[in-house]
Amino acid sequence: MSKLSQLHKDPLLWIFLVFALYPFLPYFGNFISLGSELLLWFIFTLSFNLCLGQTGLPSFGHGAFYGLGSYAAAITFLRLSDKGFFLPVLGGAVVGCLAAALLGWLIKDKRGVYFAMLTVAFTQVCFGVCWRWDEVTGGEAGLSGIIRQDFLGISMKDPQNFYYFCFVIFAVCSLLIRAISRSCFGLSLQSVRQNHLRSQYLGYPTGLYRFAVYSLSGAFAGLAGALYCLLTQSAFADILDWQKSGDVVMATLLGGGTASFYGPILGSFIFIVCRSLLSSLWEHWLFIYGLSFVIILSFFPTGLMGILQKKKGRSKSS
Amino acid sequence: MLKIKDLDIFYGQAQVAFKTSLAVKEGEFVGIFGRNGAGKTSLFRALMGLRPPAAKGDITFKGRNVQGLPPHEIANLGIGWVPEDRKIFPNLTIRRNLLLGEKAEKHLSKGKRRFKLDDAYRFFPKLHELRDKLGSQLSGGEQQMLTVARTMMGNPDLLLLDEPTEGLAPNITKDVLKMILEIRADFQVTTIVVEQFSEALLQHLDRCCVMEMGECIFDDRPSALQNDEELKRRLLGVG
Repeated sequence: MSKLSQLHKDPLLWIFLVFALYPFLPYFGNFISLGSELLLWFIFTLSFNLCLGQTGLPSFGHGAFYGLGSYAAAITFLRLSDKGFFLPVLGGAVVGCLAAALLGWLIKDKRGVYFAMLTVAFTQVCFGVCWRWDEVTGGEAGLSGIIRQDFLGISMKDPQNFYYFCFVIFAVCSLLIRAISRSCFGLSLQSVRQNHLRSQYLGYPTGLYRFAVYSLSGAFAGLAGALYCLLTQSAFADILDWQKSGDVVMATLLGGGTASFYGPILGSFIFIVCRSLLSSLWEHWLFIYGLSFVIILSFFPTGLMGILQKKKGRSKSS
Repeated sequence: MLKIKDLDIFYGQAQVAFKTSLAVKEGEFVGIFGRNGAGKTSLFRALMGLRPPAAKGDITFKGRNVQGLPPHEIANLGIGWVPEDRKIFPNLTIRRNLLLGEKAEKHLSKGKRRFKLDDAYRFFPKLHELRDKLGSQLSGGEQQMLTVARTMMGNPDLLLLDEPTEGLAPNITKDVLKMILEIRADFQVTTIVVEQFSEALLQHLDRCCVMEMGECIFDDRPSALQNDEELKRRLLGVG
């Protein structure tokens, strides 16, 4: 009962409420596809934050799993499935998970800059393969011809219906990721982030934990990539570029992923809205975005959520 | 319970322990004394499988050779280490720090009384009072209490205490020592404690060793060391 009475204090509930009403919001409601992209970016950045904020893994190549998920969905849709949604979305998550597991197993014991650079290198390898492998990925031309069909009798050609499809997946993923963050497993990940050696002599196989969270994070990133493929009804190698991985790192840090679970949501909201709306007003919008990033992170390393938390005098762990 | 035989410990080319041997029986309370640099902490690090240092020799715990095993496996076999510099998790609350010490049931010895969160709060009421504070907000003495309690939360069969009272104010030292002795008496945990020297601790030990320059030069009853003024003065700089 007390939990129910505290429900209104749950920020996720308010996020759900705002995005459930998104198509009806003034101004923003005119950009339904932007809303869908926001939702899948939330999944993407939350998945990334499982690595960075929760475990301290500087995975600067997370775009690889997003991109591979997108390709997996496209290939599944075009070649294997009955043109339904289930298999492409599942395919994206599975391929993202497998790719992350493969890389994670190889680099689970690497730390700091070595870990970061190996993830970047992996992304560039994936980018190169997708860019050149014409027979499977369509090479430079990418894969297109993905036409959203009905799902459970609801037409997904309607952008609003597809938005709500993304919304449901976002709701499930965010609840799942939050449950993982707050579980014993999540607590152990925090200890690995703070000091892997301390965790080891307390009995935690830190390499295995890093591998597990990386694979899990790859699955969510792959799922977000699959949704992106269904949103744009195509898959291109561009999204595997290292720049995509940089975008997710910047959005997560700007929002305050290291200080709060909700930081990546705030960060990706700012990034996507700036990119989509500000860019139409001023082509050099990246200048403002980059400058804001430098200023905020210089003075507040824990990002925007860190500032808010400081203001409230609350600590992340309480 | 623990048998160390002919253990050599190295940091790169430098050898810091030479053919060290030590045997600890179940339930024993053993003290290892020695000046800074004698090799006490290196011995504990080698016991926990931490690298560096590199170690050569036999370490048998509960009949199993643990030499070369990774730290988490050694910890899960039942060795709990309280490091000298109170390695707590500064950005986690006290409660979460304590919960991190818990181990899965499969790693615990059967039929033994379990040290639980309530026990941690019972022995260290201060931790209960501060349970929602972050680790970084604790004083040195409180951090030490937290480290001991966190290690006990893993219900180790063998507790390694590395200079548990180092750098603490005399009254806090007394409190921490009292708690450690109470926990030991209550949970019958086999313990090895490392200190430069502690007169207060001596009377509670079953046995004590003295290390000098990486060698164990004394292994006897505490009373023998207590009465050996020359050894205390020469090796430990006290008395």
